[in-house]
Amino acid sequence: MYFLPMIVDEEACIVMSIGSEARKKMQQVHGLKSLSNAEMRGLTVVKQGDQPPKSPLTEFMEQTPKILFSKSDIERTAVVGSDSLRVTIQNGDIAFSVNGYYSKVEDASSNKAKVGVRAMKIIQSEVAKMRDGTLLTNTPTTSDGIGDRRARIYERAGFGSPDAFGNMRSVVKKGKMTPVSKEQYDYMIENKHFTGNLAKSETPWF
Amino acid sequence: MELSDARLDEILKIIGEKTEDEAIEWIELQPDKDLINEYLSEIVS
Repeated sequence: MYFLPMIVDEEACIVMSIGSEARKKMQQVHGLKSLSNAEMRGLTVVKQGDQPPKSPLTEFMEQTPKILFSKSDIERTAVVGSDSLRVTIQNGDIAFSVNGYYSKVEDASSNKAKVGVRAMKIIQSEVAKMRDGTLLTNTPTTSDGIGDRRARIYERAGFGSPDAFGNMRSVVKKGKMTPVSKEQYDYMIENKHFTGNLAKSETPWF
Repeated sequence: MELSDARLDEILKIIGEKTEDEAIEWIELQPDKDLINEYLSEIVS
């Protein structure tokens, strides 16, 4: 059985099915060996069973490793010049603090940039060791008034856009962070695109 | 003053590819190094 979508005007189309006899007749009329890939006089022939186009969310899910909820706690500390950096990744949630503070301090010396570079290198080396699909999250601190700018940096570094609560997500793919939006994350959860069992009590807060 | 997305991408890419010392040396040579320093300090501050 074949379907013939017929364009009748710019806004609408109709589809009619034809049986084997009609198909043979059309092949004869148009001198075609097969109708399966034929395009003729505004008629496009589609073989029954062809898959409808996939949604962007489905395509994204198929190209993304199954989400893996990390249960490990990682803590790395470093002294850079006069500053003490602490990087933690707890259950996939990344947090930084410098000299015990999570928000911006007034001393924006160039040494703070070195601390930023060290933090990026630490995350880079830890992510490179993580399994494909590991979910990483981050919630940029907003208390200092530059949360949007900070979020923008994290987005460029591999996190998805922040949701309404400021939470950002990323999934590890071949040792690198790939951004995941809330919509994409929710879609993967709905379609059970994750590893292991996710009991209700374990549903991540983000 | 803001860094453009393209510039930010370039900076993050270079930091990712170079060693820590090389990345810091590279930043010091950039005409917009003060702005870069400001941004990088905000990653962790």
